[in-house]
Amino acid sequence: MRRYTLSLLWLLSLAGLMLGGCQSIPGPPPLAGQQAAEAPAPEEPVTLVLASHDSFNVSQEVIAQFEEMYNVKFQYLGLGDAGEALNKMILSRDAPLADVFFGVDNTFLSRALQADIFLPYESPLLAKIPDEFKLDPEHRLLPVDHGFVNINADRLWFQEQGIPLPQTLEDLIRPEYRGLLVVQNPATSSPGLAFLLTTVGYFGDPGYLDFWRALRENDVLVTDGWSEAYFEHFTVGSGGTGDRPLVVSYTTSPPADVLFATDGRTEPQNVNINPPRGTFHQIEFVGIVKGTQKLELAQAWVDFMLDRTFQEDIPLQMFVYPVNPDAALPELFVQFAEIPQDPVELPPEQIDANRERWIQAWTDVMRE
Amino acid sequence: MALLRVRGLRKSFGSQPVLRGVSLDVEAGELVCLLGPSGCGKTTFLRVVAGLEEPDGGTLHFGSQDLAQVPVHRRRFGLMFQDFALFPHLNVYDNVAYGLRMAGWKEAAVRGRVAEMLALVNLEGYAGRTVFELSGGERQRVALARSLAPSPRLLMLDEPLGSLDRTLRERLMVELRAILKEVGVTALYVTHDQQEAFAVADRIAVMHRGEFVQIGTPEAVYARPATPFVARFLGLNNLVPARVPSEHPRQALTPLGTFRLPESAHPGEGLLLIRPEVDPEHLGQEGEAGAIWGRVAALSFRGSDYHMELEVHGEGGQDYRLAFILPTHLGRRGGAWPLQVGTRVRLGIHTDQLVFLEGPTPGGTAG
Amino acid sequence: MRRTHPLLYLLYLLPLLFLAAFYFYPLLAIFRISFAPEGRWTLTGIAETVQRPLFWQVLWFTTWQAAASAGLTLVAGLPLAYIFARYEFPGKPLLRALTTLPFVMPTVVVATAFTALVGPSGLLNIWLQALFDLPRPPLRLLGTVWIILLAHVFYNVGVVVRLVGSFWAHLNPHLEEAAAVLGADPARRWWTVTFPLLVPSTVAAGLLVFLFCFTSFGVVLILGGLRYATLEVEIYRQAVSLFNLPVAAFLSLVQILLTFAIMALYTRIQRRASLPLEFRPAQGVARAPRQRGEWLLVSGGLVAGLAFLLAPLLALAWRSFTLGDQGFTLQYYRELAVNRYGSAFFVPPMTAVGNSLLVAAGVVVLGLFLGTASAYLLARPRSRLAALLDPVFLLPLGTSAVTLGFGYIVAMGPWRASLWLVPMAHTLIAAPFVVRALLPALRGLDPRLREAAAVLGASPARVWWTVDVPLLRSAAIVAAVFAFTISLGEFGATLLLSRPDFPTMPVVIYRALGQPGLLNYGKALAMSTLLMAVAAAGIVVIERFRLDAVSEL
Repeated sequence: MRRYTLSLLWLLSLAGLMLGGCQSIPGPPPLAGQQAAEAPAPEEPVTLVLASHDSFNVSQEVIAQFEEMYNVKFQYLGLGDAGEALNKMILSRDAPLADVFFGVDNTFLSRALQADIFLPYESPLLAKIPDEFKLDPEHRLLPVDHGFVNINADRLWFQEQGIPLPQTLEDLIRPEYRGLLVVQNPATSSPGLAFLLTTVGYFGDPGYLDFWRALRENDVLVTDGWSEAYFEHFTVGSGGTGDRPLVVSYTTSPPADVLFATDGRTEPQNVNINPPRGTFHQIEFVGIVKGTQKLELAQAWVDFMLDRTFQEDIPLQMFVYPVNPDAALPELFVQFAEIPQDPVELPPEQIDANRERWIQAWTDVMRE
Repeated sequence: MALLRVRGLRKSFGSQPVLRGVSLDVEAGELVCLLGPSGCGKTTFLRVVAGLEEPDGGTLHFGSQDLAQVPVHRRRFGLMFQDFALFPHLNVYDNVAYGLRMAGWKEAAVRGRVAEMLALVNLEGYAGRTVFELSGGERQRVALARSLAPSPRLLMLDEPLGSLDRTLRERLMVELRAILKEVGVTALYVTHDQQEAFAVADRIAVMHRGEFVQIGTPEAVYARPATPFVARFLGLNNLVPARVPSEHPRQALTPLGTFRLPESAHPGEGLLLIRPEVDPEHLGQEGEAGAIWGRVAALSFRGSDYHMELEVHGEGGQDYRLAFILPTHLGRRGGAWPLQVGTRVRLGIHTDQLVFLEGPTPGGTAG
Repeated sequence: MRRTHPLLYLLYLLPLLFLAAFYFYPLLAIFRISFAPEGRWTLTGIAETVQRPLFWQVLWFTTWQAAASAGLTLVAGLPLAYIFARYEFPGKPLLRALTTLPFVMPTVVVATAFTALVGPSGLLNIWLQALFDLPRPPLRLLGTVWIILLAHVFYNVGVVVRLVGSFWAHLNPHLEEAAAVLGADPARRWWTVTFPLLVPSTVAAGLLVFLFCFTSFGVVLILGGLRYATLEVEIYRQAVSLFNLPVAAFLSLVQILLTFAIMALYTRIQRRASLPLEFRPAQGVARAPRQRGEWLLVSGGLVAGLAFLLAPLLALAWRSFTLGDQGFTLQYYRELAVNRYGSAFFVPPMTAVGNSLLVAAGVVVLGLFLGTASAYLLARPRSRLAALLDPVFLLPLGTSAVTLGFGYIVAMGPWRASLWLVPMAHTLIAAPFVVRALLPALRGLDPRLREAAAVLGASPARVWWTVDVPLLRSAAIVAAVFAFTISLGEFGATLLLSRPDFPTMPVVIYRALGQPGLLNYGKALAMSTLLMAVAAAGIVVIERFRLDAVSEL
């Protein structure tokens, strides 16, 4: 009897699997079942597919608004981290995965443009966006959001220890900040790369290597990703069990400390340290994928992303700043996520030309 | 002084007592059979003696050596498992050689001894075979050769013929005894089959619920079972409730009548065992011990003899069914077989057919 | 019985087709694109790569750390396997389930747990400092190779306990006893009898662990720091951050070839070491510890083993209730069900649990089916084809997930984003475990049993059902547990596209870890704890079939 129960279970789960599989083959939208129950729809909504990195996020109501406006079904595919996502888009250029791709940042901009996988689109909304964000003159990639990689410090820790907050990048190699900083590996982490680029821009090439040597001697901790650095080692992010009061993170991390607090705090425990020319400006772009069958919808989506509704949704969903100045920032961002005035400057072409060499040299120095 | 002396051995598994303080002496060169139904504790007894289980109490001596502190691998005993436990990754040669190598024999000496052992069990030429190429009987011999090779001080055999079929078993039990006697090894032999025990043993120790209920030569045990359990276990099932009156200690009063005992017994309640072997002379006659009167309920021909079941009407209205064995030549002599199912017959009983088993045994009848 | 039924060939063909479709085809596709981007074969960068000492360092480190991890895992796992195989004790199914738990935990989470335990300000260091009045934390494991090895052992001990344990449980204990009576002391019993008989399953387990560590990514990356790069880390670096596909593909090829070579060697050992053993029901072998020494061994072994395995997991679960300063709280669990800022990709926790279970059930079914067919194909005696295929079936384990993931993108066409690819990809990783779990038992199956059944008038199907199935049952349960846990813990983002409309538990964990804030961290910890609980419950349920099997006898 048992055996039959077992085999029945197997059969059932197999059947369920197949059903699930059939239902999910792209084409019919996932909610097909629900539709079938209703009266025949006047017009079958088409599906617009957006591919992005795994950190893409947007509000339910914002998506609903877009879907309603254009009678479209919106689908998002996560392609891994930012680097993986772009590479997968390049690899699939002959049979595109999506109509629109979001998530190329300025460190990957040159690679993306060279791969020639995006269609130019001069959105009318570009007019509103400051020129400093428009890094592609042909508008194949349009800026959507931007952020700053900086150093976050545990305000209370420094108060308690009676040590002043570091003010410059050079401060980080001073003995009083020994063993306090956790950074990410630039080979595997996007903020890690941004911070490496910051030091390249600030100290010059090969001066940055001396800085890293000194940093290594000053017991810097390197993790492979942002999550480990922030949640495991950063004293604030780990809820007190970490032992590094300084972390490479974003200027928008302090608001999150209040938004996702558990004790009702109104002021974040981490503060931004934005040393002069010591932050890295990241701009994220969206592009219409070459070979899309839904060019007009794709353009509509790009417009939608640049318009106020989506732009105002950005801060609390993805913890970056909108590029459209019309978009109002949440109060917490205004208060605690001040925008650095002089981020380091490093042109995308230079980044692209040297990224491999810089990472390699950095790795060699850190492994010495 | 006996070679192996076991005193008051106790062992429980959880709250389940398996050995309840058993004692046994085994003389040098003696072959003792532990006989009992499965679950009576005989295998556990072997395992404790071998050192595979630790006793909860009691003492074990081998010669002058106290075995309590001797771990299993230093006891220099042999143990043959019911499933033979041949090492599947070794061939016949290496299986037999295993104990010798453990004892540190030189390889040349090992070779000679293995050849000798294989010859002893009639397996010359099998040395290179794998275990899987052997039949059941061949495996049994390899296991025996392996156990005997290091010349164990004591050999234990746990149902060594248990997994073989009937005919093979009957042939091998004789052969096995011959080999064991040839080697002259002291042996403890566990079986649940009384025929095997009779064929193999110098002495039998009948075990029941963790105790030895009777220890003696096969003949003595068969002739005078000590308890109704032993009687039944040996296949002696003609048990009738009986009382020996104090005024006539050589008389047993039973529902089937009064019988004369071979010798005086302790007065009191008990069971009267009537052996099944019938002297053809007594058919239809009064025996020296008495007689029973009954109806033939079943009759079956077994070759050299007939098995007869006799339905006897007892006092108080209860019927007893007793089994008897009649030699076949009975019929030949008189021309026609005198009995049929349904025939009413008187059967004379000899005094040497009777054993009075003391003690109240409620319900222990052949009814 | 002598001749193979044509239908059987069809059955054998299925796992091969599966491998061809979901492994070789995408792999070849990405190799073609990498080595011959414009139809012409170029080997740019490969010569340079080989000439760099770093390449050889990485290769050497990858190999030796995997070998050391596998060896240590065996050393740690065999005593536990023995205890589980030979003794009955209260709570055994649950405890056995617990040994497999680390296997399902996402690396990030395990790393967190490890740091919480042995990190500079981890529990252990705090205790030691307090105990011996030390000014500095005495354990400085982070960033050393020791923590990598430790984590690998932690991850994989369950593999040894399961694979070797289930095999061991069926070994006739009389063999060791016979050796003991014949004068072998415990050490020689182990080396001359038990170990040779365990070789097939021990080597199988050691090999799987080796492969897992050989392609280890997260553990090395997160715990080892940048000093310790494995081949897989290097492939990721080349493929993702440098987009140097030829070098990445070349490294993957090296990885695959090495895997194949080691596999082929292993296959030879395995075939030689496998014997038809007289299998007996485990129930007749395992028993309660009787003597004081046995109690000590069992309880000591379990306490030590489980302390090592459970301490990080318990530390993790503990943190999911106590993160922050408010003492014991359930708010992180409540938060799982809260869509705080109205995200479109919010997932109610039960949906994630349901999705995970659905996929895992599918992987168990598919993995058992394909794995069993493969195992039968491989267990055919004296088959050259089987000898060649044996290593091939293990290749997916030794192949870079990044590379294969890129291959899927290139080769899977319109199905790249399909949900049915999820169980397929999980099965690809789970099937080698199923095969390895079944093979020793299958090769140990005494052919006479089948012959006996056939002589008794059983049709081939009936022979299979009445002889093979009951005897393979406990191995199949082990296989099912592996398929289940692998699927449950597989994040799969490197291999597949993620579909936010069908998120599994690991996806929820990673999404929560993507944003700053204590609630997000707490959510990730809560979901991880939930994942542990679901995995443990699932394993116990699967194990129930084993118990029923016994009571059926």
